[in-house]
Amino acid sequence: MNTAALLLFVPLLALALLGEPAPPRTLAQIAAGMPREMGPFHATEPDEVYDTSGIYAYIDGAAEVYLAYGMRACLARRFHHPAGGIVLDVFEMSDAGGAFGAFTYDREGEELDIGQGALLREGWLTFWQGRFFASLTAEGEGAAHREGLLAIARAAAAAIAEHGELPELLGRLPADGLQTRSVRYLRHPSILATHLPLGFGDPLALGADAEAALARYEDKALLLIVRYPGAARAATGLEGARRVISAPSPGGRDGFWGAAADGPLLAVVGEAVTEDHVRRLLATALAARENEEEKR
Amino acid sequence: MIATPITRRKVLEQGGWLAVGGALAGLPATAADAPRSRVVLVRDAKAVDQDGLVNAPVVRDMLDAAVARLLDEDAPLAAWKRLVTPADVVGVKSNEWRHLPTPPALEAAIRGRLEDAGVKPERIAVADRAVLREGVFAAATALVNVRPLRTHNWSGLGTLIKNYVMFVPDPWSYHANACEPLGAIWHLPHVKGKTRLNVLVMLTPQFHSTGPHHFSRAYTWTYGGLLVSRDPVAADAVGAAIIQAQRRRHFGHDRPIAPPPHHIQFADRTYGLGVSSLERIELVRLGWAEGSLI
Repeated sequence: MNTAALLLFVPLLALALLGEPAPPRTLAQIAAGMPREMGPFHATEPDEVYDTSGIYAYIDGAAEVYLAYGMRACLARRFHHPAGGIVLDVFEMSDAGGAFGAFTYDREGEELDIGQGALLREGWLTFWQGRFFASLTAEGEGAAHREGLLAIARAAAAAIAEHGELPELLGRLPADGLQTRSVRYLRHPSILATHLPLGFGDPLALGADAEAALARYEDKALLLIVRYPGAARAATGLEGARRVISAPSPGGRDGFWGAAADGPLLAVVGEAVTEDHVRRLLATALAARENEEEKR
Repeated sequence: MIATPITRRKVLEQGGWLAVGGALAGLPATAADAPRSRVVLVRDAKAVDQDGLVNAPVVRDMLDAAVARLLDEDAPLAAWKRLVTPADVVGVKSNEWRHLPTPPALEAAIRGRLEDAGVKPERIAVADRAVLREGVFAAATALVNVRPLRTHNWSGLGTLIKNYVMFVPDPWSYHANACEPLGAIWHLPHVKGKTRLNVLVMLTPQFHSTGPHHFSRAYTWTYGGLLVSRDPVAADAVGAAIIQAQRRRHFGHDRPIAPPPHHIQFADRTYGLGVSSLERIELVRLGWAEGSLI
């Protein structure tokens, strides 16, 4: 462990021993806490930090995705290797929900025990932890690069040292039959259109201030739960859902479809094999809210 | 709780957004007697070598053949002389995305043909991000639009229509609804009516994206083609159909481009920039036919 990392680690350890939650980390602290040499991979150039304007030039074509999840800044570190480097990008989001949501944007890959959830595909590793989403891209192939990805990711996760809570909305997804790897959390109609295209525009009136959870169930039924800022917007969303469902084929999809709204919540079920499954998913998704209010 | 009736739906039309797009709500209808657009697809198996290097002479010949056929001229130069005159100031709007830029060999071929048509070298500029700071573009009387086709996380596809987003100082203002308003840029005074030629580069298109840098060689393939048209919407629509077909071939099932690149249809039906319906596009094929996917 280098000196900078030690200076950060000791106070964190002290807080942990005292039972205090770790304070929010900054990208500068995370950068200081990560080694610049990881086996054969060496970061020889200064780190780069992009704000919400500069990010367009850095990841032209993908910036909007991270901005939609509340990106505040991105730390980029390039580790060099003779056979191709590894690029680490750590995105600081406005909250842990944004970090988790960015992680769920692409859920393919091998699950790893890094951070609060990690996935490894060929040459690309992602994980989320606290308010941070990290992406590591390898520019080479083979065992050395796989090991490099894993080592750098673990070091980054250790430097982040935050813990984030999952969005409360996910608790409304009925557990019975839920395909956990299918769960996506989103906050923008274009992200919804990426995963569940239902038609032109913003048919469910998500705008930029609603949050949503999307999941699949064992019989391939899909469930979308949206929480709007208020009941009026949810009613507008329900009208939109009604139009989608009454179209010749909702987004080119088949099966049984239904939607319901309660307060600020909208639930849409589609592609279900039976009508009964639609009813059960809608009722359970919205009943969870009532139960939670009773608990309060 | 307020609920909709539960409804059973059957898929009426298979395929991605192109197949069902005409039936989707939110877009004005297209007139049955709307004009057709011509798109020339020219391909050559030798346009790109095994290492991905562009064969400059081959690409230049492809461009010549396509432009000549587009305008029904026997000689390429005669076609170029119909596109520009010596009095023109020409901005070539390129694309410099580092993973898949417009090939310099193609930029050079376009510049060469513009000069052959009589445009003085100092009245020609090739640029991407600098178009608003480049003097030639400020004085441009003509534009040539050239870029590679690739998937894009926000607009579905990086298209010819989208290539003009650098003509505004606030590109992010055109990102709503998967970049639906992009067509509006083409009506701005410094752009409107100036585009003489569109070249959608299909040498090694990218058909899928992952991650922040959203590029992987694994999601490109050697197509060895150019799509050339006066109509950017028509060229984009043909390109989108090819990308969709390649996704089907690669993934083994119909995996629609996501998000749907509906800015192509909006460019047609809201902004009147061209033809997005494949039925109203005259596709002329030149050269290598194997694996054309359309």
